[in-house]
This record gives sequence, structure tokens and C-alpha cells, in this order.
Amino acid sequence: MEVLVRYLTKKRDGAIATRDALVNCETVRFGRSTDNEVELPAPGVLLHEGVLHKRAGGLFFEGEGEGRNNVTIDGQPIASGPVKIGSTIGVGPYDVIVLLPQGETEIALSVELVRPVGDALATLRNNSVTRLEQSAIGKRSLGWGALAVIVVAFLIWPLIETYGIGDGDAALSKNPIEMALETETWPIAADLAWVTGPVSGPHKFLAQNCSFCHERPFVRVQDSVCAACHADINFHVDPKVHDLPEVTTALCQSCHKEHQGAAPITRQDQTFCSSCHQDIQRVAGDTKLRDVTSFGTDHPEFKPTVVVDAAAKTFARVRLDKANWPTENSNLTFTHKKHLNPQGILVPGKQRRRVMDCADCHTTDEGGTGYSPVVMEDHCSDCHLLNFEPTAPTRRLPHGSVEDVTNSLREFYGDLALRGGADVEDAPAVVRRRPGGRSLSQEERLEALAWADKAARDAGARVFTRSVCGTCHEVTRTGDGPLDYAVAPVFVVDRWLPKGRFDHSQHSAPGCVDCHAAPDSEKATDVLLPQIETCQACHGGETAVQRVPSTCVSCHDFHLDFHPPMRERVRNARVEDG
Amino acid sequence: MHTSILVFRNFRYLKIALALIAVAVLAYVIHDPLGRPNGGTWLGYSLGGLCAAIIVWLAWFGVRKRRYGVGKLLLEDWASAHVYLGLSLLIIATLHSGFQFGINVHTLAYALMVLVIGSGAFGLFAYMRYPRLRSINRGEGALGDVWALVAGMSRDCYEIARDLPDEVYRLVELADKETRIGGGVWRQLSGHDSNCASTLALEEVRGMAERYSGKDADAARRLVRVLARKVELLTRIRKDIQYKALLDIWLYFHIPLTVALLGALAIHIFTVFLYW
Repeated sequence: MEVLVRYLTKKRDGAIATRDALVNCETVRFGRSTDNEVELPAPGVLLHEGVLHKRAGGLFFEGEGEGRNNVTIDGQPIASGPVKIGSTIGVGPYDVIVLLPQGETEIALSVELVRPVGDALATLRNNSVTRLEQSAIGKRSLGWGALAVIVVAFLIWPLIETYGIGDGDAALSKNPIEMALETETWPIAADLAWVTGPVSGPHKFLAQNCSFCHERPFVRVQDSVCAACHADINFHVDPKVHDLPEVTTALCQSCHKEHQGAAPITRQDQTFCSSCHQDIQRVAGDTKLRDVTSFGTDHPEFKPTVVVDAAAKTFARVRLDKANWPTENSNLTFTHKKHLNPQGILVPGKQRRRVMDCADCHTTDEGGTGYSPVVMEDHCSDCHLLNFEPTAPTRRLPHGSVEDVTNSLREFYGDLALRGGADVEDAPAVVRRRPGGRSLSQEERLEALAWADKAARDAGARVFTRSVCGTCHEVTRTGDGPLDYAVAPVFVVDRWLPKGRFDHSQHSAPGCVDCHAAPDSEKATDVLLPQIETCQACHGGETAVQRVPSTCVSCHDFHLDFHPPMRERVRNARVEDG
Repeated sequence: MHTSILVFRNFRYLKIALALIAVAVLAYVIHDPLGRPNGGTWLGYSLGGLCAAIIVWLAWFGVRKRRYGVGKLLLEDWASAHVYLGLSLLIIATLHSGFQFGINVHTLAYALMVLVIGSGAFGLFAYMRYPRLRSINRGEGALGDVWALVAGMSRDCYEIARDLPDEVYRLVELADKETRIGGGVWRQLSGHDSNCASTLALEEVRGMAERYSGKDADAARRLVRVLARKVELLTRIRKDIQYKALLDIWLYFHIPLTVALLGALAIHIFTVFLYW
């Protein structure tokens, strides 16, 4: 049969061009390839889409597709079905319309590309994104976004929290303990982001509350803040005596720099001190201080404070000098040498010797840095028994005033005489009688008491002058009375070098005698201090390489107890502040 | 005659930057502050002020480069100074910090500055490296031509595949419709597309071509040749997109980070005096 296939092509100007093809065939094949009667060469069409048959009842389209739903008949998505004149067979982008055949033609079809796919270049361009600005968020948006986050997190939030909503830091108590208790640690204080460096260890409890120190915006931290806790800090020099504004009027924070991390905020550097003390006459013409630049190489010899007169409690600072060693006039009689005898010292009444060492008498104080005073009852009385009557060896005298001792003697012998039974050879019979029984006559009592007085006198002479008190104390007669004695008052300085700090607990490695020449000391007046060279054997100045680097403040305080308190200055400053 | 901004005016701005660094380092070495060196000493304030001034001036380059013929300095002056003074900040600002860093807005400003400088350094590297690689990659033709060539090849493929089995034709269709160039930021930067429809089609068709015989085999072989050429062109285009993306991407860090830096810097200065 003859089939007319009319290809319609839409031109650019909208006109339609037609190309007719006459084919002879038994069936009309639809498809992409050139062996089809109806050639549909656009993308989206299969090699063979289907076949149009002529049957008895009319035309029938039979789809061959592979289930691509590529074919519609009169708009219905069916692969096969009868068609008639005017039917539209949609194949991919094409519409094939069945026309009324004319002449010898048995089937007439018009073919038009009605759903064209874009051309290859347009497709490729549509698929592609080739510039970053098409894919990424804009640079400005990113910038503004980041800026907004930073401003909110690091400026607005902290400002609001500190100065705005609620009480903020400003309402915190000025009492540091109360403040620390009031502190809320959640959510974290926003102004922590403003901290320039970690707060020093001792002040860390303040670290959440910036406003405790930074009281007013844009105003440096005031001394009054420091004085809230550190009320008892004293001047380095008396401002009324020395006009040294660099040490009397400087702000606390001129020297004490906070937010420096774990390092102490006290000044440690040697030059801080030596800048004045290397030529101290220049800044304080009337001073008795000597120049010093470094402990290791240029530090005066120690000048201990020693007792000049224990009774009058007068002291003097005397420099250590081998030729003219200072003496501690404590009124004690004592020898370290005898007590530290390596063979030991005889223990009274026990027929044995005891080897003593320093710690038997010198025990560290509760703080561990110094030593507790040596006390007779604790440290001496094991050996120095204070007994006085050979027939009553367990009776001891009190370690106290002369009066206490004489009273004890009188009472002991009076009691013995009146009670009787004393085992004393030269005592009268009434004293030696068997105790108990009859009561004494007046004469007998007087005789007994006369004996008691004499016994007390004799014992007093023994006790005060030789064997007991006189062992350690200087005892003098104060009158002609039988018991008129005086014991010279004892006074020992607590520390020989009160202007320097020394921590014995940190110096436990060397033995005591490495610094203190006690084993050879025969007199209680010996000042058993080492000279500075002993310290310098281990300690050097700030820059020492083979010694322990030690600066001035390793031993010395800057704020000196004996100068006026600095709080006066803070108070005055507050008044001026209004 | 074009001169690189690096050697511009016989390294004038390199010399200025080196002089600034030398003065800063010398002052830092000589200076013996109370406590650890930090931004709060006289030297700290001086170095900080210098850094802030340099940062603001360098940031102003972003405004200045859009104004032509304004001021005494050429745009090359600005660009050259931008590079050298920017790099000098790494040292001067570090000295300003006294090597003290923490989790705070101050170190944030420093970190942003380092990131800005780092992204700028990458930008400088990109400008020195990629334009040359890009023109080598482009070869003779302009890129527009290459796109047209690719599109033409897609059409050729349809033509060649018209009488080939549907399995082949479907691949040709996919290669045409699904081939994309570039895409998201990462795909542009990577310079290749592991799911490229044309490459997949090429591999498949190559396998199918071996099975065909006669007319189909000839057509399939022709198709393979065209697809291979198309894939090669696509690779070149993608490489070009990659170079362009590398030339652009650093600005997506440099500019927003600069804005953030200016904010953090202002807050840094504000807060150190607020909590003086």
C-alpha cells in the first residue's frame, strides 16, 4: 500500500514547511532509525516505537516500546490501540496525526516535532554551574554574618550582662567573701571573653566577677579595691620621712600586674630593689643601710638583733664579725657542747648516758617555718629534776619565781617537822618521832618549826646557789634574809634576723650543724648564726647559674610592718576622689 | 609594561615592612617590662596601635580598589603594600601580644588576623600560579568555543547513534542531558565529576561496541571516538572552572574574615580600656 508521510517543520518566522514522503509498505513502522517508514530522529525516540497496521476494522497502532511510556494515543498513555482519521499518536517529542488519505494513498500521516528538547549547548549550560558566586553564600553576607556573631557574643551580650539587665556584677557585695558566695557560675560570665590573661592563683576566686576590681568603665583599677582585702599593707618607707613618690604614691597595680597567669603578682626582680639600694645614700641620705646589688656577690654581712640586757630588754643589731662576734646576753647559763657530747650526757639517777640531738629541744613551730621556744618543763626537766631533799627524792620544786620556791621549801619542811617521822640524823626528837598518836605541846611545836626554818634555809642555800637554779640561772643575794635571792630574768630573742625571712622547713636537707656551730659552743651567749658566706655557698643573685637564683624578695618583704599602713593613703585618695 | 606587585617600585614595600619588623623586634628585645611582656606596656600599646593602623589601612584597600584615579598612590602601590605590610603583621602583632594567648576576644582578633593573612597568602599564590595554568589549559581556543564544540559533539552523537540499538541511544541521551559542568563549590574546586554522564556513557558504549558487528560496530566505534573527544573537552573545561574557582575561593575567606577581624579588633580595643 502507499503511505503518505508529511513532515511539518516550523520555521523561525512561524511559517510551516512541509516535506512529503511517499512510501510503499505493508505496515507503517514508527521509530528513530532510517529503516522506519515514519522517521522520528529526535532524542527521546526509540529505534522502533511501534507499527501502524491496516485491519479490517480500520487502523491499529501496536506499540513496540520497552515500557518507556513513550507513546500516547489521543492523549491516553497506552502503547497499542485502534486509531482513526484525526487521531494523534504521540511518540516522544513528536505528534503523528492520521490524515484523510487522498487518491491512491491508503494512509496519510503528518509528523511534527511539537515538544522539542533544548539544543545541546543550552542543555549543557542549563546543567552547569561554573562560578562560585552561583554556588556559595555571598562574601558580604558571610562577612556581615560573622561580624554579627562576634559583636553579639563578645560585645552586646557581655555589656548587657554586666551593665544592663538585672543586677549584673555591679550589685555584687564589696566584701570579697560575700561576693564569692554570691557568684553564679552558670551561664559563664560573658565578660570572661574580655579577660586578657588568667588571673593569678590567689585572686582566682574573683575571676568570675570582673567588676569587683574593674569598678568603673574606662577607669584603671583603684587602690581601694586592693585595700578591701589587703588592709594591713604597710609602706616600704615612711612617707613623712622620705620623699620617694615612686614607692609612696604609685598605684598598687604599678607594681602588682594582674592577668599575667600563674606567676606571682609580687615583683620578684632584683633590679626593682637594687635600683635604689645599689646607692641608697642617693635616695635616703641619713640611712644606716648599706648598699646592696645582689645577694650572691654584693650583700652586707648579716647584722643580727641580739639581747644586750635581758633584764632591761634592750637589744642591739651587731654585725657578724669573726674578730668581734656579737653576744646574746640572755642571762642563761648553758652549753650546747656539753649537751651535744657525742658520747652522751649522764641521765641523773639512771646510771646511763643519753646522746642528744638538736631536735630534742628545738622543735618546729606549728607553721613549720620556725622553731618553738625551748621550755624548761618540756625540754629540760627530764634531767634537770629540781629535787632538793635527799630523803625525799621524788619531791620537786616548781620552776617559777623565787617566792614560789621558798614557799615550797618552807611548806615541805614545816609539814615534815610537825607531822614527825623525818629520817634526818641531826633533827630533834620531836621531828623524828613516830607520826600520829598524841598531839604536840606548845614547846614541842616551836622546836619543830625552828628546825623546819633552818632546814628550809639550808635547802634554799643549796638550791639557789649551786645544784638546782644556779645550774642554768644567774642567782644573786638581794638581802641578808635567809631566803633573799633573785634569779636574773631570762630573755632570748625570737629571731636574730627579723628583717629577713627564712624557712627552716625548706632547708632540711643540710643538717642543723652545717649552718649552726652548736657542737663547739661552750657559752649560752654564743650567737650561733652562720655568716653570709654559708648562705652564698648555695644561693646566688637573680642571674646565678650555678647557685640557687635568689632575689631580694626571696628573703625580704617590700611592705615593712614597722612603717605606717598604706590604707591611710587609700583613705585619703578616696576623700579626694569625692 | 606589567610588573609584579611583589617587585613593584624595586621592593619598596618589602623594605618598609622589613624596617617595621626590625624596629619592633629590636624594641621588644630591649624592652624590659614589669611582669611578662604584654599588650599593656608602653611598647605593647605602641605595637598594638601600629598593628591596628596597618589593619585598617589594608582593609581600606577593599574600598580603594573600586575607586579609580583617586589619591597619589597607584593601585599597584596599594596591592604591593597590602602583601608586605599584611605579612609583617604576623610578627608585629605577635610581639604586641607578648606571646600570650588565651580563649578570649583578644586572641580571637589575633586568630582572625592570622586567618585573613593566611587566606591572602593563598590568594597571592593563586594569582601567581593559576592564570598561567589556566591559559595553558585553554590552549588556542577561547572557552566559549569549547562549550560549542561539546554541544556539537552531543548532536553528532545523536546522529551517529540514530540507527544503533536503544541501549546505546539512551546513553547518548544521558550524555547529552545529564552532563553538567561545575556545580557546588566543592565540585568546582575539585575540577572533575566522578559521575559525569558523558564519561559513564563513554565507558559503557566502549564495552557495547565490542559486542556489535557490521554496520552497528562501525557506528559504535565512531560514537566512542566522538564521546572520548567530548570527555576530553569536558575535562579541560572542568580544569578551567577549577582554576577560576581557586582564583576566587580565597576571597570567600579573606573578605568575610576581614570584616570579622575589624569587629573583633574594635571590641578588643574597646574592652581593654573598658576593663582598664
